[in-house]
Amino acid sequence: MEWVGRRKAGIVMRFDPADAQVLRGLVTGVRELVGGRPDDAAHPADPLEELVGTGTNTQAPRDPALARLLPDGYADDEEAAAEFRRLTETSLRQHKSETAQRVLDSLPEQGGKVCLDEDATRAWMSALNDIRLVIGTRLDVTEEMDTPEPSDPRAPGYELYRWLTLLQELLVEATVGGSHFD
Amino acid sequence: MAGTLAPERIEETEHGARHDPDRPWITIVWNDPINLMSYVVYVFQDLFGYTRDKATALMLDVHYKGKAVVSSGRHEQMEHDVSRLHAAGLWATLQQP
Repeated sequence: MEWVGRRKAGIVMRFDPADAQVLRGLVTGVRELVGGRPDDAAHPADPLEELVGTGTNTQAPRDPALARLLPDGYADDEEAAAEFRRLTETSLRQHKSETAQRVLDSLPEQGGKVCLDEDATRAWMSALNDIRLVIGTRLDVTEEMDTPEPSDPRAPGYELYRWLTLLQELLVEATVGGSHFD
Repeated sequence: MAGTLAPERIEETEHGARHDPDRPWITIVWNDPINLMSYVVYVFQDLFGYTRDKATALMLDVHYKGKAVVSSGRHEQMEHDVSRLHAAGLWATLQQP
């Protein structure tokens, strides 16, 4: 079991090798998901996109999990939502990709101690949340959802989801438990 | 085609053309079954500098009423707020009520 605590310098966590490997795999998966091209062949890669942070894509992703990571900015105005996406989706993908990379950089492959300052803690919480959004969307979780039976094909994914939920909860608790947020 | 560098006509996409520029815009956060209550409170405090009490009240509105207005102001500022909320993984939109 991972351990999360608070020290003067920030948050300290400890991972055993198996958990570290699982988490690194999940973070890498999210990084690859957001790093892919918009799933629309009508919009080929533009090398300038990543430099300027805006793109040409105006369509929400067809994959519901990716769409949850990159939501519309307008609920009631399709034209504005398309323009908002064109202007912001590339930089949002970059941000999420960098956040994932930040976690990978701070989590040793063999596990062990992870020390996080405030910025790194923010990145970890955000990255854990992104993984939970992807898995939760794929599992179609609801607020009232019961734990699936062991024979349910969703059971392993749900167990992973619960573990990530606990980890994020511990991290938030350790962070806001400090007085500097009040 | 080559050599014709006549500027294209840029279509008017300014939201002000369709909305009253003097009325404030609002940023709405919508409920979803995945984001943790404690994390949502943390994000509201972190992004907007709200007190724990105010952030908690907004989170409870999101959870029980399905949505909450978390900020209001100029159009550009609300687009910025929505972008920051999306970066944190919350489901947010802006509109002019």
